[in-house]
Amino acid sequence: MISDGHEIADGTTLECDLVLVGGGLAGLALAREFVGKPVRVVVLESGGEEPEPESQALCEGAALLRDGAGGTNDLGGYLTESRLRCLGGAGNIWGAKCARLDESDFLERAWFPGSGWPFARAELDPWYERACECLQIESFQYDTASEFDPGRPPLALERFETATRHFSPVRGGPGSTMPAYKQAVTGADNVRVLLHSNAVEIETDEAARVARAVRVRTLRKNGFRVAARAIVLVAGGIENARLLLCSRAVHARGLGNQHDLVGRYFANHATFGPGAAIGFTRETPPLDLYMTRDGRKIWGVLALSKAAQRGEKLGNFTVTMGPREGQPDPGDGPMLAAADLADRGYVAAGRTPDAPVPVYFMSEQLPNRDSRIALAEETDALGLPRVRLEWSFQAADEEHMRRSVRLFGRELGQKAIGRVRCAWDERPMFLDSWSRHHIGMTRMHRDPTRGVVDADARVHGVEGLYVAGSSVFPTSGIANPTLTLIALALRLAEHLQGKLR
Amino acid sequence: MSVQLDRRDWLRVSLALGLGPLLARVAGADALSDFWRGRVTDDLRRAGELVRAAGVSASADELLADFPGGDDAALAEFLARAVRADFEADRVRFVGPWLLAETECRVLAVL
Repeated sequence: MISDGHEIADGTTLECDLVLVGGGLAGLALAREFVGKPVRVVVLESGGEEPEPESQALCEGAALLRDGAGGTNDLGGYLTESRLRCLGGAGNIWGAKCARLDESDFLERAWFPGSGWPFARAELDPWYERACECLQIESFQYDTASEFDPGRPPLALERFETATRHFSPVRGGPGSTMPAYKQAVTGADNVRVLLHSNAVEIETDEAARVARAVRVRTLRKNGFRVAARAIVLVAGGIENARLLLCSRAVHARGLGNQHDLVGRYFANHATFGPGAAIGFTRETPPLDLYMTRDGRKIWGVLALSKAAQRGEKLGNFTVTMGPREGQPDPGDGPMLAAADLADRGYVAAGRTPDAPVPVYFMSEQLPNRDSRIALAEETDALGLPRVRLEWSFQAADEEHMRRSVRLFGRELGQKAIGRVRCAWDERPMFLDSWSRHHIGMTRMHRDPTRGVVDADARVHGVEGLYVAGSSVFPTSGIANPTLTLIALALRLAEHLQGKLR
Repeated sequence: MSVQLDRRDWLRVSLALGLGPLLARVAGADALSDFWRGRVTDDLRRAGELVRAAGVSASADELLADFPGGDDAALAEFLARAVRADFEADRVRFVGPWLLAETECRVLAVL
């Protein structure tokens, strides 16, 4: 059932078994697991059924991006543009790309400080399968041959492999199955979805060892509590951390923040695109797999192989191609003609190679304690401190990106496939990064001095308080995070069903 | 080991490569007038300018210093192999935004 927090009398306390703070893709995935079960669930959604300016304004805050060389870029409306407060959340605007993290992403990589999950990928594999069902995509036993002509295979490289992504129909826009996704929850008798209901604080016992309730306020100023046996913060990577930081009744630094980890280790995917392209020599290979198009179910990117990552001590890195657009650079023709001559063995001349194919490069950001969100002095319409994001890269991030691009260019040249174009000098690296993957601010680790939540996604030291979403990822890998965060949410649902039985 | 190429070898190699300065050692520029009119040749000459502007300098003698000798096909193979080996061994450099092998840069520099 669905109702509106505006209609709840000021001072009311609602009782339930489980309260989910957030009605986005993950919150709804969690709620769906309890439909028809003897568990009373409340879903608190900050916005309405559709986006509304007043609710969206609660996302406003300062966002800065710092590169590893001292450059700073004001990201302007990043905090409002990268999130959405309404039922379905950012699921209404996401790119719908789904990919699993790789097995090695879960391991501690000695050359990648701060890496390592508290469990192996095998732990998550069954939940990935369930997440595929949830997001209505095929199982991740990818079969690219079913989508592409076997006679036109993916690019064959050694250090780079073709990694594929599936597109979920659970998204905004025409043909979306999002309405049914929501209906599965809003139509359930034991799940109560409350719109316009903003969590403003987590209440605990006096020692902050047991979570008791969520304090809620609406923009019409009525307030109420939702008392529950278990509370899950599933409000998006940034809001999860913000809510813990704002819950200061017992600890001035916020709930679960004894070790000053909440809000830190903000990670995202570093992107670089200005002037980046592949100039194919000889002949342009079949690239269908690497180009998105309407209705496509599978899409490919070139990913640095795990062996190459180990050997070169690099993180994850991908090359994403796009359609040829605009006018080529005047220098491209001569350089490509020269490279074409070299790649055809200097035995002929007179050919004009195809125009370069635009690409962007994406790399995994190294965990960085100084990359963080903090509470600003300015408050929002609910009186909560706004967020100040300082998305900070290190010099090593830039070095990883440069070396990865160089490796890619070397392999293209070595195999006489083409050349890489990358205008490093036209724009400081990373300052134009646009990824909306908010990762790491309540990172998962068995050791409470190194993580905010444990392997069950429970906040260390606080009974009954859990976090779901990309904020628990210790590292980002290179996969779009939604499939993984849904898998984690489903895994958490099973854990909670045991607890709430 | 450096091997002397006769006048005919130089002509054939230069025709194959479109390398003006190499050709100039054995023939006048008029001998390649038809070749130079082609668009790709103009591109190669322009690429040479870009490479030299990026600070690459090379001479034909230096470029061919390790060439063991042979016909134009052998020289072409020698250069192409050197380009691939450069990429493998990380002997690469950015010329403007393009990542190129050292050898292909030096080939262009002598245009």
